[in-house]
Amino acid sequence: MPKLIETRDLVTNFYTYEGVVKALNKVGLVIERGTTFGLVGESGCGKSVTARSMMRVVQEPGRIEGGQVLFYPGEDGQEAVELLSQSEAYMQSLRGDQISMIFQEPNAALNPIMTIGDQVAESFLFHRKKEMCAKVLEDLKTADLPWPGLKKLLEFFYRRAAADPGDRLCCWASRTPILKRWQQRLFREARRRSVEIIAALDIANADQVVDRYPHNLSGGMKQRILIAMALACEPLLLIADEATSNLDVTIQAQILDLLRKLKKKSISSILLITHDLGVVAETCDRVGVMYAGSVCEVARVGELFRNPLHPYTRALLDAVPKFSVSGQLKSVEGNVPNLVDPPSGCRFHPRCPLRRKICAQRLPELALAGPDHLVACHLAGGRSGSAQVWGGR
Amino acid sequence: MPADMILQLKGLKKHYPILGGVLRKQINTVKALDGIDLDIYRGECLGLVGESGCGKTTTGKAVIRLHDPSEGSIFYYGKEHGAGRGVDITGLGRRALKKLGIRGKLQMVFQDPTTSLNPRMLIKNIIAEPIRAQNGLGARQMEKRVAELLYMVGLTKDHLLRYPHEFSGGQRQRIAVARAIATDPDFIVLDEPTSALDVSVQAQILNLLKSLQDSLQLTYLFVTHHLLVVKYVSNRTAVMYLGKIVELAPTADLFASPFHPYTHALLSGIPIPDVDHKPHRIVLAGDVPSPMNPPSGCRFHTRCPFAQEVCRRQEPVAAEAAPGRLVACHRWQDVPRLVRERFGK
Repeated sequence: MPKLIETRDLVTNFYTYEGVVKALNKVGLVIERGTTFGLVGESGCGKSVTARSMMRVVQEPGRIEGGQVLFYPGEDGQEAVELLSQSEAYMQSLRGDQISMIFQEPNAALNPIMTIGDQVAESFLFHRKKEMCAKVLEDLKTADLPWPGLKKLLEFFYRRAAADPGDRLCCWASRTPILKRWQQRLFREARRRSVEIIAALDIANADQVVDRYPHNLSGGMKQRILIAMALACEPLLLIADEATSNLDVTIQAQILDLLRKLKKKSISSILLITHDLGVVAETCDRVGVMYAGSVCEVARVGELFRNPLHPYTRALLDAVPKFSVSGQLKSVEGNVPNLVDPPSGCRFHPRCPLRRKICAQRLPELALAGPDHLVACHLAGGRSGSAQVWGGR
Repeated sequence: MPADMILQLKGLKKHYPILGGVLRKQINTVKALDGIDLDIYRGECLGLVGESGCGKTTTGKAVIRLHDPSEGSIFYYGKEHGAGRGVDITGLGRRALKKLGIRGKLQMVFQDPTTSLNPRMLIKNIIAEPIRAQNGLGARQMEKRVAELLYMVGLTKDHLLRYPHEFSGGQRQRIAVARAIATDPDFIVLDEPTSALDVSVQAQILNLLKSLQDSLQLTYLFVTHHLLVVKYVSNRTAVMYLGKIVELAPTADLFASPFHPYTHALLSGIPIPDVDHKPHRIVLAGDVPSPMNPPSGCRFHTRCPFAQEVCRRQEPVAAEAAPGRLVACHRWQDVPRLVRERFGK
């Protein structure tokens, strides 16, 4: 599979009053085209910050301080664009168009004073203005207008806007009373597209839903609207940040079903950020496990669940209540470390049941421990024969 | 009536009025609980599951009289009142509850430890507060008792003089548990005690709750939306939908062979952390209807894949499907077969 996006040694710090929170410590991930990549970990381990750093939308007081984010827009995954060195204008044209994101809390992500239709249409108006103006121009040829002068005027505006969406004259006209009505057909087109995309997500009465406000909708519906907004411009990468964590089981089942269908239909890759290992097991192809700001294990989903090599992954899998197993749950002792002053060496070593001397001294690097299976652990390196260390599973 | 019953709910209802208009007249009611019958036995852990807004927490709060039910009654069978002699605590005031010594016997652990602990109180005072309210202890005894309680939940004496913000989420929940067991309760309502916690910490808290139940002979009402947690901790499980209990069964039986179609859907909707598991998912259409005007007949009929004419007209009564198993569905005998045929489970 060709690569789609890659992070190399990504470092993000947050400058708070308590000190520098080292949220990401050299995170390296590769997401391939057409796959679903799951990123799991406990809260505060840097899952969301990784995704936000990829899109360069880290909130204050956070700063991306090092590393690279390489984006491969081409089909073959050859030419790379280094996102961290691009201009903000370039990033704006990329966000929502080629990479888009579904945020965690649908209530917070939707604007309460805009109708659903306007919010979905926003991404069309921002990214697809040129294309839509050309479409309106085409429609104008056959349109029936009260007088010929109006048609000429509209064609004039739409021709200019279709040639250059940021045309100064058109922008001026959009702010001038009466004249600004030239955009009406553009808005109508955007609305038509919004209805289309909302209807594609199994929402009944899409043409009525677009005129409602977020508070009129239920949690599951809002989450669908967010997915619709994210998918509006057919992105190459969809980042779903805890997209189902706040939903009920039956609604979560609906949303996961929807994501699976969308995945089949379009080849867009999904980066699924979650703390629920069940969701990962069902939807992902590859999984990355994060702990305290660094990636500790990356593998194919089957491999990870059958043969976890990092002690943290093992502990995490043992701590989840399971359907078929009963008895005492194994818990991980201790708490997630404070990232202002992270532990030396391997960040998991204070909680690790198998720690050695070396773990406190040196940070293990991600190394290949099996086919397509990366682990950052001193004990589970490729050479040492990890199965013996763990006594098999 | 079994002698080991601790609490009994009979036709419990809780309706919240909605006021509107200029004169603030009542224009509607939210029927959060609409006739709950539930027996809770001494020493068990009863799980209460359902989607958000189905009335789980309202039940939990009503049971220990944190708010007054609109209708129905709650009987408490305390040890000190003699076996089989219940006290109707529905109409009792705060003073009466305290005088009969019932207040301290019914306790609660809330969902989010960050908001349920007062940020301006020391841990020592947080835990001592319920003891002070019930029966005063001398300062030295109190300190000893509080330290003992902290030790029971896995914290140490060093934590006494700290504030809640100095602790992590898991430790805060431990403090909340210590506060709940401070008055030697018989019965604790656990309202989503682990849903604000991470997986690895969740396991710690669940193990703690289990060991406390054994050592202190506690009875739990475990309210949660997380079905796998319920499977792990509870002996019996009640499934709620829109203010009603639709199914009640021993947990193992419920998970092995559910009767109600809603339970089927809930169980099949759990994402299983196991890659070899192939889900046969029953995806329910639509959302939970508003509890302001619940559907006629069976409340689940709008989303039920097997709804018939009778479901729309007539409300099902809870039938005893097997010893100790109640199910409120017109077609419960057919449901397992229908699910197998339709969803190939």
